[in-house]
Amino acid sequence: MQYVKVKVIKNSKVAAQIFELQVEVDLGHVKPGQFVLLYPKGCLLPRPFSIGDYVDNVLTIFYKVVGKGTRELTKLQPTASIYLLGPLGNGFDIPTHHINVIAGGIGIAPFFLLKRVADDVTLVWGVKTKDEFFGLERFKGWDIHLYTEDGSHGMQGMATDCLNTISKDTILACGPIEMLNQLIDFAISNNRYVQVLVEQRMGCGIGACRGCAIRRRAGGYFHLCEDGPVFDARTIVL
Amino acid sequence: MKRLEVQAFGVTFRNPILLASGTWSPRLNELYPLSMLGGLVTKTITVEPREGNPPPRIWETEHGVLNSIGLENPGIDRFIDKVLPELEQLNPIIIVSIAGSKPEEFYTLVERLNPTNVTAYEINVSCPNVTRGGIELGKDTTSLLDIARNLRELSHKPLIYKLSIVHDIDQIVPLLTPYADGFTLINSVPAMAIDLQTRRPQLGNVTGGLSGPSIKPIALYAVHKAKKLTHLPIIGCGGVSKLEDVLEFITVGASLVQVGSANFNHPLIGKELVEGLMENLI
Repeated sequence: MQYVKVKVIKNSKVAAQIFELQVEVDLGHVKPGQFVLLYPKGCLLPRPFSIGDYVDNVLTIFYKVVGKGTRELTKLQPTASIYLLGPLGNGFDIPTHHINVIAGGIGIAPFFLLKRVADDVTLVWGVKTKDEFFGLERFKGWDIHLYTEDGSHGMQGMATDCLNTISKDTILACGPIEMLNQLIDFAISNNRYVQVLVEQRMGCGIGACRGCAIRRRAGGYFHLCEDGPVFDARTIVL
Repeated sequence: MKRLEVQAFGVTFRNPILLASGTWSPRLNELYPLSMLGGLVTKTITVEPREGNPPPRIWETEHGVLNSIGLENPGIDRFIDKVLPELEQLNPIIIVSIAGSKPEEFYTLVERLNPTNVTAYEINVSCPNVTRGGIELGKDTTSLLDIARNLRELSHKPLIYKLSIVHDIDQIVPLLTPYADGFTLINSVPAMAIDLQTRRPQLGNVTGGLSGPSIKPIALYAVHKAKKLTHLPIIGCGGVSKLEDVLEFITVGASLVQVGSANFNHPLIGKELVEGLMENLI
């Protein structure tokens, strides 16, 4: 883990409300599903972001503009700098055999790095409307299934519509809470190993403040920064 | 370096910068040596483990940080066995924050911690996020005085009482002074925030405690006020995020300061404040 001021290489809009931020940083070894904290100007708390892609000391983060912190990030111009803490969190447990990936909206973000380490992957990606797709060309070689809620591209429906037909292999997933709740139900009722990457508000990122709690199915809480952000879907309640 | 040393509660602090309860973890030592700080105040410990409050537990307001953690901690047994040995490697000055939902719990905690090498106790009677033993205890002056008398008898180490701005400082500081070694002012301020879209509170526990820059003027006021009521050393706490803030607290009479939520905003803040003091005062 390091805390460094990093230089912005690129920060541009790639889809509706979605930006691609590239910064220069030597993070050492990173795993898909790990995250970093960024410290936007004028914000008192850092904001957690999945590592989107990381190659040759260039870290890519895909972020959706949802509030004060992400609005501030859109103002970053190339050559500007921003503090970063990371890499943090556990990341996905990546099997060596075929993998199913289910992503909802910006929940695609952590899987660009997975593309660098896994070839035999079925990707199911659902968005509200086709303007929200981005970077599809980077998944070339994977078996890709696209869904839009309005039917503007691919199949009409949600990414989780695939659950009836999906193979028995490990599922890695990231997306909105409604989607993750469906996956939790699916994992429990079928006793399947589904790894879900969860979002939660965060204070410190290093286990100090206990702010990023999520409910543990067996009682008590997990902490996203210490125990996650990737969890066995059968063990959590969202 | 010696010019930054502070003598308080019979303890020598290498400088006046402490990290506040619940705002740092040993992992911060990966970023800078925590040994360079004046000392460390632990997350509040209770006799039994506590799982804390329902999420969401943290929210950024316009000029502050709102939290409702609910004193989540592993309990005294695990703290002594697993947590403390690691903390002792980080800094020679470890102040253990303790809380209880009844007086006997404070006594148990002090008795368990007396044989350890911890430096002092910070008695947390001001947590805004628990239903029993927190901020309400500080308002119940009869019980508080009783606890303070008994702790004075039991404790082998300095007793520092952490108070809230909602406490009656005029009454409570003189009342506790005969049985205390010092005070920490202030704990986070009871507060809440609303999500207008859902018309629900932003915190799972509905209300929380506000910290950060917005409470600094309130904390300065509390230290200023308490200083006139006691000869005991005071630790200023609340919104310290830059060198000027440290100097302002010292100006109103604080012997030491605690840096809290600023650690979330800039993890190197403790180191930079110590370096800032060295550059400007030596």
